[in-house]
Amino acid sequence: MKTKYTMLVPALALMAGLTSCVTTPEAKLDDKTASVLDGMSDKLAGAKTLSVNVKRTASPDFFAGTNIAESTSGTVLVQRPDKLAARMQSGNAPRSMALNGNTLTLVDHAAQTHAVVDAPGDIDTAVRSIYETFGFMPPVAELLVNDPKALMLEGVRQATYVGTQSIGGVECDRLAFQQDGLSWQLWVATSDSLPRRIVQTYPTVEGGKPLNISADFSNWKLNPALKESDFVVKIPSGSQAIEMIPIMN
Amino acid sequence: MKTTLSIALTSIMIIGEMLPAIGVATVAVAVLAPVSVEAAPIDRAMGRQGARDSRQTGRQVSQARRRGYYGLPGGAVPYAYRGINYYRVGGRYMYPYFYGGRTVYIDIDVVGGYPVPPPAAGSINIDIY
Repeated sequence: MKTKYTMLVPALALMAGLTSCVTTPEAKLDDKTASVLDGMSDKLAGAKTLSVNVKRTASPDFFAGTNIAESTSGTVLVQRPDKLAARMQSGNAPRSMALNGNTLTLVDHAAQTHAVVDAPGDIDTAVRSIYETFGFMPPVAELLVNDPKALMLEGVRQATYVGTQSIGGVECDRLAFQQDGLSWQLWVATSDSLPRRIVQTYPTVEGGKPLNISADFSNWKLNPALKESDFVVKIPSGSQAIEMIPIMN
Repeated sequence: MKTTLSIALTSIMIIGEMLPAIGVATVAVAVLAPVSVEAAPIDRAMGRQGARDSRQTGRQVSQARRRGYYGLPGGAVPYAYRGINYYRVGGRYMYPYFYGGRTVYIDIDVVGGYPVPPPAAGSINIDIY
């Protein structure tokens, strides 16, 4: 089976205008949804340092050429305002990456490749810059930037408070959001206002099964003691320096 | 069977992957600087020989649609030619890049049985197979 992965990003971004910033008006939130999001965002943003374990599962065919579900797990560290490191240590695609206020270092341990690109500024600025140029973000960065609510609500057209649901034995508020070509849900613990799960779903264009990816969060640590070395990704001996293909082609 | 997977503008990565976006509205990159075409791949990757912008933006004058693969075909082995580290299987040569946070391998043009230098990242329009 051949799977073709077509990126519409470049064309659409160009249509948006080369020098303009187009932002979808923020969705009107009901009081409960706003309260849950505010509580989560304030809690995350208020922590000077963060540590969280992440387990991600992608449905078959989510990534072109991979017709089996893919699962990986790891740890993400944050030191505000400008440092983020992620080490996805299991699964079939072990990778490490780090933002340090100046650069993004990305290491693919399985392929023995790495890249270092400029990514100056705080986490929010660097994440946007990387996304705009290369089309990806560090792990769960949308939750870990300095202003999570603002970033998460960009492009959201509709938000709904679904109710409460237990995730791993923890009672959570469940929120649902709609964007163009994407729906996503977020589960936030009622006890500590920390996210426990996020699921993204989007339809395929040829009527196939919707594709989804989920991330479960555990072992949240707020304001843990972190070292500078925690935000340094060591490039393995023999790793090949390669370029990143931008999405703006 | 051929499946086409199209991602809308707000493509993003949640856990180190290119994904549909949560947040991040439609923001276009303003101006992408041109790139040195003469720079060797390793220099472009390392930001040397005036190739700094290629690793930042990859903007290039001419572009070519190329096939990319998340993995190497069976039997592919490292192959160094004129200081560049390719992978070779039969008469086919491949070269790695990052795309969407993952390593992909691009087929490299072959002239006279040998691979030509890998194209600058900014010149690549990629289809993943």
